[in-house]
Amino acid sequence: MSTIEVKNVTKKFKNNGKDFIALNNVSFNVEKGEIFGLLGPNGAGKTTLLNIMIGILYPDNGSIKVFGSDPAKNRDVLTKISFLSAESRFHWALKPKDILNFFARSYGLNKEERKKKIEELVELFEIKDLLNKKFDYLSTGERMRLAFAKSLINDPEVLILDEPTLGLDPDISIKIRNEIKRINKEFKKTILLTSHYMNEVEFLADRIAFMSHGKLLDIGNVDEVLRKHFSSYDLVVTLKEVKDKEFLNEMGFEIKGKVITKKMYSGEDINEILSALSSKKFNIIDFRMKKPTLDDYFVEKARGDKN
Amino acid sequence: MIKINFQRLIALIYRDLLLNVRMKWRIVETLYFPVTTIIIWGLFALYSKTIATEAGIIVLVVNIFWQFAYLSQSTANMTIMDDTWSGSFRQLILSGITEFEYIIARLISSTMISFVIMIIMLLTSYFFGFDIFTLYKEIIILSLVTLISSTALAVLIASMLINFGREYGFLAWTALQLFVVLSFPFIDLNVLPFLFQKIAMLMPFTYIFIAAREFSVSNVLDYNVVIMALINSTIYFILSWPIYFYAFRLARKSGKLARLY
Repeated sequence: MSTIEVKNVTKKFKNNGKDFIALNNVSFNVEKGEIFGLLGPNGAGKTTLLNIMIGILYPDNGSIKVFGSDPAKNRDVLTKISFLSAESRFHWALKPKDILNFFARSYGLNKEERKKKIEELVELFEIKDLLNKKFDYLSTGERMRLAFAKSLINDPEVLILDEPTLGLDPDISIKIRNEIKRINKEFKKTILLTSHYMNEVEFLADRIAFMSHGKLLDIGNVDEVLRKHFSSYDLVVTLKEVKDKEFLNEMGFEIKGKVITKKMYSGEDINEILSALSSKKFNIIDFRMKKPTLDDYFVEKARGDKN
Repeated sequence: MIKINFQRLIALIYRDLLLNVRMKWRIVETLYFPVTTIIIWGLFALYSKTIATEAGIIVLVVNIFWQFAYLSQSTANMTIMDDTWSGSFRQLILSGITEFEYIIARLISSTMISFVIMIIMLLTSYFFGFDIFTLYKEIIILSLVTLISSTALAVLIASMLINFGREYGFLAWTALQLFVVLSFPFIDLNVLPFLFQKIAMLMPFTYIFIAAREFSVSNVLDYNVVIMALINSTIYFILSWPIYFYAFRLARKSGKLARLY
């Protein structure tokens, strides 16, 4: 049994009297212990899917099961899940210590366990100085650190992270990403993640799914998806001096100043290309392979959508 | 969904009470309006005695139960609005708290707060001629019946807030007023047109106000009227629960619950 099973999920909303299909027959599984990235432009249906997953929205058709249960019907399954989004808010008048205490208490931790767990999380997310400040007075980064601490208070088996580093300073974002990786590796937590930062998804996700207009278009590990969509990569060579442009053009290089670029397809050998340049007395200062990234993939997909 | 985890329930009640400590001005707000209302009508009761009429004491006693009903209903519903305005509603629902636990906790904490304010209102009214120490049994009985009615209304209004969304938050502090108006608190039902008499009989507070008017003057509680009040309140109370659960179901289907934050 997969940890999360999304099966033929369809959801329509009424928009100005017309049906708007937010999710169209979406199916996939998330396995125990993996980090699964859910990608897609705004309006793709990611949030709708997450809302069904956490039991606050019913699908029209299909089902989402977490540990074999529907979270909308079996609320107990929610105690094994934590949801965190960039929009996570707590009551403005409460202090972080009140918030952590409340959730620890509602998850059934006794006084000793609460104290120990809160101390552990306070240290992990460096929020000791914030404990007595009202939530309203915390900065975006401080709120996010508190939300992270809260999301781990029930020791969840599944973490659902909706844009977890949105609005954070780069140093905090790096720390949070490393923390997500650590939580996944050390504690074998299953993590489902949405993000608009492709480098984040590339760094974290074992597998990704790309959604657009409510449909699932691609699913697989990052390399697989990239290989499927990009049959080539760029070889970028910096020369000391550009001469014999005709030869370079014949080889398929584009010339921009002293930098020449060639698309490499499968079966082409990079050593042969570089040897050919050397034999023609080109003085090579530097060369690198520019592989397509998730950013390229996302841009191409989004462009394809608009066309 | 009708299932209670006492740890979660206690956590929620403790949180509600803690919020009152963290927002000290809210205690002033909760206390200020009911007590000043009682002082205003208490002074009127004193004045009306000088012109040999009992209108003042009637208005004063009816106002005490009216304020109590308003407090116990609006406090429960305002905490729901507080959760949605502050964006913490979703976090509560996602922690496994059931809709039943959620509303029960609100009802318990609002009842605790309302009873404290009720005692203060009663002590205040004593200085204006309402003999609370002789009539304490009657006051307790009528207060409990009022609590059933206002709890039922709190559950019904919560259903509307969940289903219609935050823009209908005003219902939390205005909806009860309509029920009070149609209960005709300061008038004998017999002088009303037939249609209004029938409407009044369907309202949850009508018989409570009739009983309050009578015993404020005679010092005797008419138990036939109390039984009618209890029947009305119980019907409202029983009907409110399926509506509440249905509202959650609808909101989960329409996406309103996801938009409540």
